Formats: sequence, structure tokens, C-alpha cells
Amino acid sequence: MNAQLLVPIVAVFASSAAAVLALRRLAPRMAVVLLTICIALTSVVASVLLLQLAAAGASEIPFVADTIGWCRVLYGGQHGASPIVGLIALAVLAAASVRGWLHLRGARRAHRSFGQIRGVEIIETDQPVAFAVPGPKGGVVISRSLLEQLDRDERHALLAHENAHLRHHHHLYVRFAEVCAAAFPLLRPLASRVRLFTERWADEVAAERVGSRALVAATIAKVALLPASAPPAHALAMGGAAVIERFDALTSPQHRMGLWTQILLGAVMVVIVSGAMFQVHQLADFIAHSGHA
Amino acid sequence: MTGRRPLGSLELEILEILWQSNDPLTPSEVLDRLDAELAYTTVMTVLGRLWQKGLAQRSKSGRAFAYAASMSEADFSADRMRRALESSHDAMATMSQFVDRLDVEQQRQLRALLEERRS
Repeated sequence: MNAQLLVPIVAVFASSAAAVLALRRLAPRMAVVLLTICIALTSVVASVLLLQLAAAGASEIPFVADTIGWCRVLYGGQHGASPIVGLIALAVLAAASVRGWLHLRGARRAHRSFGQIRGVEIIETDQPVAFAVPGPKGGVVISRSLLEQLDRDERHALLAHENAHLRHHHHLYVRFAEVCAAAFPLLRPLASRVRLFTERWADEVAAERVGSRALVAATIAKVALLPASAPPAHALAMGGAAVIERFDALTSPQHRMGLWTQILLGAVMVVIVSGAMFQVHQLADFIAHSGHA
Repeated sequence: MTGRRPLGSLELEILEILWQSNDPLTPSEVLDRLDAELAYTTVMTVLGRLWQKGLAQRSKSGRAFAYAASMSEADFSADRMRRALESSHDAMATMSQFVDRLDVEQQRQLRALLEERRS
């Protein structure tokens, strides 16, 4: 296999990871957008690479080479991948597509079970829960027990946070990231960061609306520390670390992005965009080749 | 304002306004406080829905009703929702909850941070 083929994917993935390091210093809105771009381009590069390996593998089969008019004398064994590697690449690509599609279908179906939500719905449960339900109508589900334990200002902060999710269509970013991560598991850390930063984004919007970051932070801490009267039936404990990070961010002074962060992010963007272009170029080159036997 | 908004988002925004206000508000007062251009009847409809759900109470004020945020009328219950919540674990996993549950160690960390930032 031709090692040159792997250069773009390695470069793009490494710089996406570098972006994550810089994100703590970034406004959450910008972090979400940047991460989404990183995830999208990494997915494109991975897909194109797999496609190309599959095509390269296929083109080394004499029958295929003859059919597409590939010169076997000039390019025999030089196409970048052997038929075996091509077959593996094809299998990986197929599996990725199926996993991504299954995830999308599952997420859609899950959201549909909340499809009747419109506006604010109060549910009678002793769990202190609140979440936004996206959709053309959209709304927020809050348990009465949670509302009753919050004072007026805290309710306002809670509502403003959930409202921010709806107004800024956060579920689209989260869903896109999670579908890509389902297809390419290497992207999972980036996708979970997207989820965290949509929460941070909603926190900052809420802080602006209620006029106090401290109030939003206090509300988060209060709700997180409420005793759940029964253990939740489902494993959501994974997000606990995010709560601490959000509280920490809201109670720390906001700092501007430093010069080095800007330079790092600029470099990351240059690498992933040119990496993606190079990858697509390689494929285009490969296809063009087959016409000039 | 940001283009076409989800209907539910409007209900939330109006509830936010009610929660911020100390006095009951008439639909036109609510309309004044919204940053969006909306029809009076739209605001009236949304306030009516909030009242039906027990999230607002209303009293006669001149010819219109005035609305205030309320949690007192606790007779509204969304059975359908509760069932969805209890039955559908997958659905809950895809939702962005306001906060996720903390384990014991994380609770300890958060309390420590809370103390530290308070002082």
C-alpha cells in the first residue's frame, strides 16, 4: 500500500485533536462550529480515502483494469492498494455507512417518541429532569418536582438555557457529530466535546438573558446536587464530568483568546482544509488516470 | 430575530417574561417585552395555553386577562410524556438534559468547587 495515501488522514485527524486542546479558551459558540467543521472534514477525508483504496484495489484486478482502460504495463501494481486492501477498505466504508445510518435512524425515532411536545410540558415524576425536545414545534420537558425546588430566578435560568438549545438548533450539531462518530469511532471524543460545548453555549446565552453567570452556575450546581429520589433507569452518568466543567467555566473569569490560541486554530484550519482538498485531489487524479491508458 | 422559530420556543420566551415580572401582565404588555414582532392574537393564544397547563394564572384586568407565572395549579399532568420518559431509554439517552446525573465522586468534586468559588 502506498503510504502517501495516508498523509491527509493522519494530518487532518492530528490537527482536529490539536483543536480540541485549544477549545477551552474559545467562546463555546465558536468551539461548536469549529468542531463541527473538523468532524465534517475528517469524515470526508476518511470516506474519500476508503473509496480510493477500494477503487485502487479493484483497478489492479486485470479484468477491471481492461474494462476501464487502465494501462497494465505502466501502472501494474502501482495503484496504491492491492485488491485485498481495497476489499478491506470497501468493507470498512460499508460498515461505517451502515453504522452512521443506523444511528441517525435511532436518534430520529427516539426524538419522535417526544414528538407531541409543544412549548413547555410539565411532567409528574419525582426525578428532577429537564430537557429540550427539538423539532419543528419543539419544546421543553420539565418535571414538576424540579420546578418546585427552584426559585423564580433559577427557573428563569433553567428556561433560558433550554430555550437557547431550541433557538440555536443545537440538536443539529449534536446529531451530525454523533452520526459521524458512529460511522468513524475515532471521532467519538470530538463528538462528546460538541455535546459539552452546546451545553456551554446554552449556559452563556442563559447567563446573558438572566444577567448573571453566577446565577446560571448556581442553578446548575443546585440541580446537579439534588438527590434523585430513585436511581435513573438509564445510564446517563457519563455526563457528570461535563457538569463540573460547565460550573467551572461559568465561575471563572472569561478570558480573551490569546495570540497563540489564534495561531494554533488558524494552523489547524489550514491543515484540515488542505488535507481534505489533497485527499479529494488524489481521488480525482486517480479517476482521471484511468481515462488515459 | 432569527428567522422562523419553533413554536415551542415562543411559549418558553413568554413564560420567561412572566417569570421575570413581579406583576401580572396583559397580552399587550407581554407583546411589548418580546423582542419579536408578533400578532396580539398569537400572544393571547400562547398565554391561554400556558394557563391551561397550569403554568400561568390569570385574573381579569379591565377588558383583558392579566397573566402571572404560577406553579400552584398542579392538576396538569402529561401522561403521554411520563410514559415516554419511563419506557424509552434510548430516547432519553439522545436528549440533552439540563444536567446529567453525577456519581458520588463527581458530587464531591462539585461541592468542593462550589465552596472554593464561594469564598
